This record gives sequence, C-alpha cells and structure tokens, in this order.
Amino acid sequence: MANNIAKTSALTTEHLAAALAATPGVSDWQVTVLEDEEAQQYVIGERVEAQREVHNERARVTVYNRHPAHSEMETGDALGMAGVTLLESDAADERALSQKLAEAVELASLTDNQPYALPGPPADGFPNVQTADPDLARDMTPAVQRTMDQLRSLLQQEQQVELSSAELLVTRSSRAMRSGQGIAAIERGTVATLDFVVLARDASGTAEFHAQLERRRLRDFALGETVPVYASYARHLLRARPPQTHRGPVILSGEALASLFSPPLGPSPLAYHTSAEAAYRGASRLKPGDWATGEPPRGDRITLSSDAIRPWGLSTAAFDGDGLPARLVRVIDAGRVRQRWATARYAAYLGIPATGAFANIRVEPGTASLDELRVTGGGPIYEIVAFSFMQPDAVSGEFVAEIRLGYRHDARGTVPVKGGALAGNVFSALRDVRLSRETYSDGRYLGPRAMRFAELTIAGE
Amino acid sequence: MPARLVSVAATIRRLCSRPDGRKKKGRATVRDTPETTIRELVAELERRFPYAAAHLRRSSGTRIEDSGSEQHATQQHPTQGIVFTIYDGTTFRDYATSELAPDPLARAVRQWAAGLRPHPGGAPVIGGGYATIAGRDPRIFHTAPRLAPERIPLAEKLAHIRSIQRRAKDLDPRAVQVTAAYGDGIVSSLYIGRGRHLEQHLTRTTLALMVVVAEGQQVRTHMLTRGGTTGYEVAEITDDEITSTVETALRLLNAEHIEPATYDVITDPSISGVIAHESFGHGVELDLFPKHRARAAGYLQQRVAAPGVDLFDDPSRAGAYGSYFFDDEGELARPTHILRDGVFVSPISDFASATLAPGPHTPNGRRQDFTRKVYARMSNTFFAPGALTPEELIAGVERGIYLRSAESGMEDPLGWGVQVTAHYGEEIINGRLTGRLFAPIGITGYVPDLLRSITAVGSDFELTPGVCGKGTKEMVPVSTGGPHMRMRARLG
Repeated sequence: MANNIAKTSALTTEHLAAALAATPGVSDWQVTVLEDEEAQQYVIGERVEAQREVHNERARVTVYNRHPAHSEMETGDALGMAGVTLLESDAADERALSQKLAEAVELASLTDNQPYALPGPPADGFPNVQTADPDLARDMTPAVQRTMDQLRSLLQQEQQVELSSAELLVTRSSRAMRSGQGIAAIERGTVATLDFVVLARDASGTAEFHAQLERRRLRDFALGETVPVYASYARHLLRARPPQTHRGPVILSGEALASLFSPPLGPSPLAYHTSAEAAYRGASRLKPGDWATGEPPRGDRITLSSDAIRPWGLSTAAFDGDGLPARLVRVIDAGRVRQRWATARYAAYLGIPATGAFANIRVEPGTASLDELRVTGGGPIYEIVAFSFMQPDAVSGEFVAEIRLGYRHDARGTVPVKGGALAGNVFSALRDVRLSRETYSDGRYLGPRAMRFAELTIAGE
Repeated sequence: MPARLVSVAATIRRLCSRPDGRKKKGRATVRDTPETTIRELVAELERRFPYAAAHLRRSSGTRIEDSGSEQHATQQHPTQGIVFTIYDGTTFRDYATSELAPDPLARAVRQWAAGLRPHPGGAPVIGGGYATIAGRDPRIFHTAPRLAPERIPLAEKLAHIRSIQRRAKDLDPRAVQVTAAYGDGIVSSLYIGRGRHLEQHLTRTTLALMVVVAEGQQVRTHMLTRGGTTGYEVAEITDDEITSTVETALRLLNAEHIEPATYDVITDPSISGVIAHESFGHGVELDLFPKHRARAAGYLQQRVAAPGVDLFDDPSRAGAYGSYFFDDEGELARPTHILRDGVFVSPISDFASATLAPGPHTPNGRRQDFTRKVYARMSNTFFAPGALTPEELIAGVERGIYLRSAESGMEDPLGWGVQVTAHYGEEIINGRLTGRLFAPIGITGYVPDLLRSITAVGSDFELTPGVCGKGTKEMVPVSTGGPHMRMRARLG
C-alpha cells in the first residue's frame, strides 16, 4: 500500500492548541487528531473486484464557553460546548482556522448546560493497552492478501460450499489527544473488518451464510476455527425450515447471544439503564443496589462489566473521549447494580466517580456446560446461533428479531431452523437464565458462549 | 438494512431543486477545490485505462439537540475527500484521500497510478449510454429549500427546538425524557469522468422528537421523525403533532405482546416502505447478482407480487431524503421501475455491477463517504399508490392488526426472508380499530408470499427518512414509503 501523502504540520494537536489559546471566549478545550491509513480488498469468488487505498486525516475540537445562563431555567453560570471537525485545509490557513474556532465559540456561547470540569492527566498515567496488530505495522496489502488467500483455501477444504464474495478492510490509526487540562496522549490502533458470504449448494437449491467479523488483529479472525463453522451453517441452511411457534426455553449462543448484549447500533438496555446519563435524564429504571432484572432472578445471577483494558478489544482504549484512563468497571454484580458507569460530564452532574465511557462488555460465565443447557427435558428447545438483525430497544428492553439460523433440539434429535422471529424483553428474560461455563468472545463481547432463557417466544408456523 | 425509519413522514414537497447549467458563482462548498488538477489527473488516467473518474465530496452541517436539562449545538462532522477510480480491464481500483492540496494530491495519485497496469480481457465497461454532458464547464445542480438553513440564526433555531421540547415535556408528567433534535447539512460533490463534469449541492434537514414515558417499571418510547432534501421548513411542527407523539408513547405503556400467528394486516406507509426496501430493494441490487446472492436474478420478467403492485426507486423525487441529482459515479438521477404490475422488470445498479454482471446501468452508485467503496444502493424506494383510502382498507379487515411506525428491517436477498420491526400495532375487529396496542411487532416471512398476499393498495402516499446499510455497514441516507396496504403477514 502506498503511504505517499507527505505529512503536514498544520493538523497537529500542538498547532491547534496554540490556536485555541489565542481564541477569545474559550474556557476549556479538547483536541483529538485522527489519522487513518486503510487497505481494502473486495473479491467475488476467485476474482478481485476492487482494491482501494485510503488516507484520512482530521481533527475533532471541542470548545467550552462559560457564560451567564440565557435560559430562565438556569441560574448562575452556564457551560456551552460545541464540536467542530477540522480538516487539513482548515488548519493550514491561519485565518480560516481562527474563524472556525470563533464560530465554535459562538455556537458554544448560545447553549446552556450545567457546568462541569474536564479531567486532567491521571496521576498514574494512562494504562498500556493492546490495540495495534504488529502484522499491520507496515505495508498492509500483503497481510490483506494473505488473509484472503487463507479464507479461500479453508473454504476449498469444505464440502458443498464456495466463497460468494468477501471484503476485507484493514485500518491503521493514530489518535492524539490534547486538552486544556493538560492531557497530552497518543494511541495507535488497528481494526480489521472481514465480511464474507459462504454459499452452499445441493440439489434442493442454494443457501448462504453471511459472516461479519471485526477485530483488532487479523489473527483474531481465527479463520481455521470459524470458517468450518460458517461452512456448516451454510450447509445447514440448505435444509433449515421455519420453526414452530414456541413459548418456552430458548438458548442463544455465539454471535446471537453477543448481539443481545452488544447490539450493532446503540447501547444495550443494561448498559443504558446503568448509565449516569440515563439517570441524570430521569430515564433510568435502575439504581445501585437494585436487581438489574427488576426482581430477584430465579436462575443464574448476571455479573457484567465495562472493560476498556481487554487486550485487543474493539472498544479498548488507553483513554476515553474525555481523557479518562481505561479501566475495568463492574457495573452489575451477582444480579444487582453495583455502580453506574459515568463519563466525566454525568459523573459531575450526579456527584459520583467518573468511570469512563462504556467499553467492551464482559459477562462472567456460569457453571453449566453447553450440553447441560441443551437437555430438553421432554419438550423442544430452540437454540439460535444467528439473527438477521438483533437490536433490543435500549429504553424498554423489548426485542424482536428474525432467526437467520437456529436448531430445534428434542427427543428425536436436532434439526436446523430459519425464519420466524424471537421476541422478548431483556430484563424479564434475564430473570430466569442459565449461563454456560464455556466462553465466547468477539470484538466487543466476552462472556458465556450460551445462555438458556427459561421462557421466550418464537413466532413461527 | 438496520435503519431507524420512524413514524411520521414528511409531506412530499414541491420541486425544490433545479439544474443550473451555469458556472457556479461564489459558492463556498467546492469552490476551492483543485478542479484543474483533478481534470488533468483524470485525463492522464483515461489515456491508460478503459475507465477513469474522480469523485470529490464535502459535507458539513449543524446539529442541535435539547433535552430540557441539556443543550447541544455542534457542527456535524464534516468529511472531505476525493476518490480516483480506474478500471484496469478486470478490477476497479480506487485511491481515496482527504488531502486536496493540488501538488501533494497530484504526486500521490501519480505514484499510486504508476503501480497499476491495464489488464485487458475482462468485461468491457458499460453504462455510458446516458452520457449527456460533455465539455469543460461543469453542470451545476442544487436544492432550493424554501427556508435556507444557513439564513436562520442559530439562536433562533435553538429557541425553536427548546420550544418544541418544552411543549412536549409539559404535556404529561409521565414524559420523563423528551428530546428535540434538528439537523441540517450540505453535501457538495463533484464528478469528473466519462466526458462529464457535474457538481451538486444538496441540503438535507431533519427534525426528531423523542419521548420516553415511564410508569412504575414500565418504560416506553415514541418518536416523530421527518426529513428531506428540504430546508428549515422541516422544523415546522404543529401542537397536534407534538400531542400525538406524546399520547402515542403514553398509550404504549399498556401495550401487550402479540400472540404469534399469521394475521390480516394493514401496513402504514412506513411499514410498506420498509417491506419494499428489504424485499425488492436490497433484493435487486445488481452487485449481488454476480455473487450469486440474489434470488431475484432468476425472476426477471416474472411475477413476484400481486397484480397492481408497482415498486420504484427514484433518486429524482423532489424533496425526498434520499434524493440527489447524480449518483457518486456521475449518473443522472431518474426513476427505476422495479416491479410493474407485480412483475420484476429491472434491478438497480452501480457502474461496476453494470459492467461486471452485466446489466442495466441505473443511477444507484453510492458510497457512504470517500473512505468507502461504491455499491448499488437505493435512494427513495416506494410502492406506488392505488385506489382505496386508508379508512377503506381498515374497514375491509374483519380481524387483524394495523401496523405502525417502522423501526428497522433486514434483507435476505438469497433466502428471500424478510424482517421488519414495527414499533407497534393496533388491533382491528370488524373493520374498526379497537385501541388495543401491541409492541413491538416483528414481521417475518417469505418475500413472494408476503407480496403476493397484497389484496389492496391505498391511495395515500408518504415517504419516511432513514439510513440504509449493506448488512450493518455502508450507511447512506434513503427514504422509504408508499401507501397503506393490506396483506397477510406472520407477526410475533
């Protein structure tokens, strides 16, 4: 991959800090300079459809302005803040830069918020966390090619399946932060995204399984383990049929379970209701000491943490957006809310310790084996391994998601199912659940490989 | 398509855009770009490769949010970048950068191109059939909103959004959190290639009112969202609309879980639109065809829906959220008739898929931003209206559910499964709404079964703004919609 943009000096935290110091009305500030180098490859079957190289550089600046409150609801001083993104061309032109920053101050001066203070540098410094894949430290194109070749090779060893298409995007980033409170830090990281589709064919037709993996390191795709599993999923989909309508025990495993706790868009209900932000806004249904499920659970008790230091986690970072140092924060302990997680702002508003932004989710495993969870006990049990799209409502906890692939276990054996929808509520579902002792991890979730919920509803045939 | 496609859609507004045809004067958005350098670079590349083009895009805007206890006013994260694309005879290759200074840009592009070689023998490029613009002068397009957002003082916008928030919050003490949000932005883009030099400036605005209500342990939400390639007029909201949003949230406190079964349903325009989008929107993206991922590939000119069902994708729809004048590959916007009287007649495509599939080239080549690849993507996707009023449709249902407020959907173009989540539904008994609510409701099924079950199409029409991804990435602004419709669907 070419790395051929001559590095300029204008878009640096030092330069922007100097400009902010010279801007009237700035009571505090934060600057983050982001630089990404990307290599992308897109293949259809054996053919490379497209190849891309990307260079992207920008700075995010937040300015704070203290001023007398405009609103009759506020008393005393108010704090306004405004964010602005600066590009190289903005930073290189002093007059344009001054104007952009002045506009940001004006924007901030118009908004009223309860004042709070930004954090300063941590006494013990920022922790060392693992976020950058050494295999992507130099030219990324050969690493991309090797991964694609391995994917093809592994699929060729599988019966009845072929590669439909694959997309691999690898990004090497740097994030430099400086703040008016004296923070000056830089962090480097990598992210690799692999999106591929496995086709399975037989006389009955064609079926696909669509895998979407995101990791810090290429090796964490663990293709030698995951590709055979996805190939088997594609084969199973050839004979999968819609499930029957069911109200009873349901097992979620692997990525299906991870998506319940770490949904693709927005926070999970548990993370939302344990946040200081939701509490400040009066929308949290939980407070420290409460049962996270609203009443005493009948099954296993959940222990859940925000983990910003997990090696190679996608949300692992030495410091969060406020400049708070990374840490492991136990939010729910044995079923009860232990503490709220809080960014600097909402910690100050509630007068509680600032823990940093919610990072990777960690759920402590249980004691039952997967086989024990699958014991049918007479009636059928459905086990879902993939949803089309699982996005629980963060506020209500309600969810409904189409089953992309699952299995029906009963006395006659196991058959694959697809279609129909699983519906429930995160809080009530967790009141009676058993956790597997086997664990599963993806980019953001680390926890039990499977959970058996005593009662969920499947809308089927 | 994980898309937050919510509630009330904007009324389709009158044509608010016009092609200009003249040299631009004094616009700040693309004015300072090194167009001469870009033209020279494209010309150099065109001499070596069967296809070369450049696409530059800048976006910027403002977002305001007011939750009563907090106020935010931020610039929407601007992006700026350029993509140079070549087709070497077998593979499309891009170089994308945020660097726009002429000299470093030219050096970088030439260094990148020096490592590339033509590879004759692949599919010949197609899609030039609609080339209508040539020469050095750019053809310029821009939306013309009734109330240009940049002319409204920020203080006025903040006061208006605060007023909306307070009017909603004051309606009921159970409204524990009310947030009003407004956003406006300008996306400017430039395309040079295939003898075309095009420039467009799109103003997009959005308004959202989000209400969280609580009673005991029960917490529910409801949201009003509107948006379009329109101006500040999007922020005009009536007391009735605010009241309705809060009252619906309160009614949802008593919502039940629906008994899983197959029901006669009436879909509101937002639900109709997501069904259109997920079924014969994603399902007919031509880039899926050579990947053997689209079952629709085997159904061209075949009946896939009930007679009388027409489905379009139309980026030229005036005022709609997903509209544009030309796509990210310089293809001028025009409607694509996808289903005609229930028969699948055309896919949607980008330049690469039209070349490699091959297939018809439609104006649907879109990228999330300059860091991402172009794909075949939807714009405004909708069912065409029919003859019956929504009231007549409901009156024709003996026992069923009126599905309201699409939340999200997900495609399954090979399996032809469909997933749409409705924020809620209301029971219909003997042609009348009973007031009994269910929430949320998942709609699943087999696409042809669902579309062939359509028995009536409403005469109304609304589009809902949203964002659409390929899977769970590559987000672009779209709208979906159509009329109310009557069909049978599996709910749960």
